Amino acid sequence: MQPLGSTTTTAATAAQVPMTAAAITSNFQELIKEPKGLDEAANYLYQTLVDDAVAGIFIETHHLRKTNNLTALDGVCEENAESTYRICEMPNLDIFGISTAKKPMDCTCPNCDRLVAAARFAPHLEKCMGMGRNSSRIASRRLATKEGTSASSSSSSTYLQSGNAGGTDDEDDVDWSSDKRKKKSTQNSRNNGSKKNNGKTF
Amino acid sequence: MSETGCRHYQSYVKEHSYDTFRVIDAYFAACVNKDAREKKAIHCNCFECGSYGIQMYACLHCIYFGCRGAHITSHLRAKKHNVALELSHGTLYCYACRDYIYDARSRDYALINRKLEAKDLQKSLGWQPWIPSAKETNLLLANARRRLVRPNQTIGLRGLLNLGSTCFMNCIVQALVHTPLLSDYFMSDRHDCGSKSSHKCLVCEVSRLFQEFYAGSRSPLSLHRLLHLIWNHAKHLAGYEQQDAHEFFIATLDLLHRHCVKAKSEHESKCNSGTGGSSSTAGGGNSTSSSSGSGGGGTATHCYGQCNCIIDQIFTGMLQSDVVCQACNGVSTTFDPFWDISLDLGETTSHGGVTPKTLIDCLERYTRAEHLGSAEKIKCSACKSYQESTKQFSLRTLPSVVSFHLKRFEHSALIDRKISSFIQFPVELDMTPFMSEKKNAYGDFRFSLYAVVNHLGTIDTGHYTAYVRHQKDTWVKCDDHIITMASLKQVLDSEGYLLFYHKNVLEYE
Repeated sequence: MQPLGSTTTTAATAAQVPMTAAAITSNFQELIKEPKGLDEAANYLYQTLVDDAVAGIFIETHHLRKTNNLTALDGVCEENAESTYRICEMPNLDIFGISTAKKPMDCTCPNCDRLVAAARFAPHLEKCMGMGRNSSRIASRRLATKEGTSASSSSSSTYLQSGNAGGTDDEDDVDWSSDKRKKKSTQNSRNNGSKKNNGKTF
Repeated sequence: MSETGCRHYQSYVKEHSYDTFRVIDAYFAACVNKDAREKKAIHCNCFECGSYGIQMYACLHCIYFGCRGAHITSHLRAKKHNVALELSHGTLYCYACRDYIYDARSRDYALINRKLEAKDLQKSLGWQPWIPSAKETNLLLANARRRLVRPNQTIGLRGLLNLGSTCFMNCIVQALVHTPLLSDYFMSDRHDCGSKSSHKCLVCEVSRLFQEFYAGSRSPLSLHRLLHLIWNHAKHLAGYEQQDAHEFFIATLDLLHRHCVKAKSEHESKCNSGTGGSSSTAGGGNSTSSSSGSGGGGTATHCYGQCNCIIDQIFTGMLQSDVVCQACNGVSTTFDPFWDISLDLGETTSHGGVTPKTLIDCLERYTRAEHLGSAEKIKCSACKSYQESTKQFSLRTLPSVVSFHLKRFEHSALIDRKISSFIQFPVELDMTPFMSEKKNAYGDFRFSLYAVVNHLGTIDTGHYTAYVRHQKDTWVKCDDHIITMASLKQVLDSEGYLLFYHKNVLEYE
């Protein structure tokens, strides 16, 4: 900022009253004293803020356009979104237009990679991981199963039964996939499966 | 490639460096301190017409202020000066190009000035628009398809299968997924997983969940992988039994927080010499533990409230506790971070208040000065003796998401019971009366309700459902796999167990 001399000559043309902070404050007090002045000041302030905000939006948009981001951000809207995803409001249907009745679904247990009925996943996982209220008992039994070199199918099934503390054998069976036929056919491999699982987690 | 203004600006910078820009921006655009504000108020008027109007321009070649339009341009033309700075938004203007220009390095300097300004005025940093990098721009252009989230569409909503008494988890997941700041974070792919095995990372799993909610599928989602990860990481939650949604919520925040901290430290140790990554690692904010660090336990990384992870950024507030000695009126103040506020609902015992009927009643009770009787004397540091005192809670800082836990389950030596009394809660909540400093000029403590978790049933057995705000004024009820529309009245008439409020005006750092 060197050419000080040249600028002061330009500045001299402007009606520059030497201002101080105190002068500004007293000017302001003077201005808002009478209702008309206050009104004008308020309007001016409001107009200024709106103006400033508009300029801000202009600059932001200008910047986006210059960097090619205006088109990049806009993109292209998905086709048929309006009809495909419209919220449904009908009795006995959910917002997707699907019946609210429970449908059996399966999920793959991340612990043993087997297909499990979703509705029974939590109890399955408890046993599968050897956790929960009976965790220590199950865990120790599992360790015993592992140590007992012949991981016989009988010891595997005791583990399964005991893991289901309050339940029955029947409940146990429901654990596995909701597909009943499949359940029967895999009945045999079930014990093998849990044996394999024992070896995996411990 | 970053933006470099125009060739005129480049040659200007080569000749004059960035110094003039930095000073002019600091004093007349950002006003970094009181001196600057005074200087701007006094000197920043048009050299042509004397007006103090807005949208003034400062010549970057000499000392000259001019109104936008003819006044500044005639100066630039006459003096053959090219570059001027627009002072209300800090935008550069090149007369030779007759256009606004954008320069990345100038922007960096300007940001430093804006931060100084915010710090000096003790207010939050102004909102800055996202400026995609050249790489991001190309990605956006190459993948032009956009999915919009609209109030009358199902995008962003998904039912959750009950995996066997896992409704407590489904409710909390629904509330979390509908937390605007959290979805912004995950939908903008901000989680940079440090661990190689991302299938073991809980935060990655949550990130995937967000993708699933917005994928456009209608079938319910199964959270079996999330459950498996949570059980693996939090042994105390593991096991098939009915669980408390509140306990699960806090445990989930804790797990996510610990994962973020871990991922960050792994990430940092990996690229120690490299670039510092995104802006999110900007020096941990102002986490100066002001006075008596009350809960000194735990290592630095595991003590929440001290870190900058997304969970702490959204959920951590600071509770102030003032203990006033009745003998000398000396005040001892402690601060404690919190993730949620647990509110008593039962009859007031000690100091005769009424049984709360509204959330405000609960909060008033929570922040009321409590007299600690002769049985609970506290050692006063001024008197150096044990004295009777009063204790009062107030909120030092509030998180962006305030969650309230209505203590409906009462466990005492005599009886365990559920308090099902109706507690009225508002859609719009102003927390100002409960703040430690009520007269913070820039503080805005207004919040809006966005999720309510309800418990139906008795203390022994029951079912959790949640109401979540899909879009403004659009509410849905989440009952495991069934998502249905709900009215605001339904939401407000519900019993309420966990209430989630989101801050209306966000503050930036």
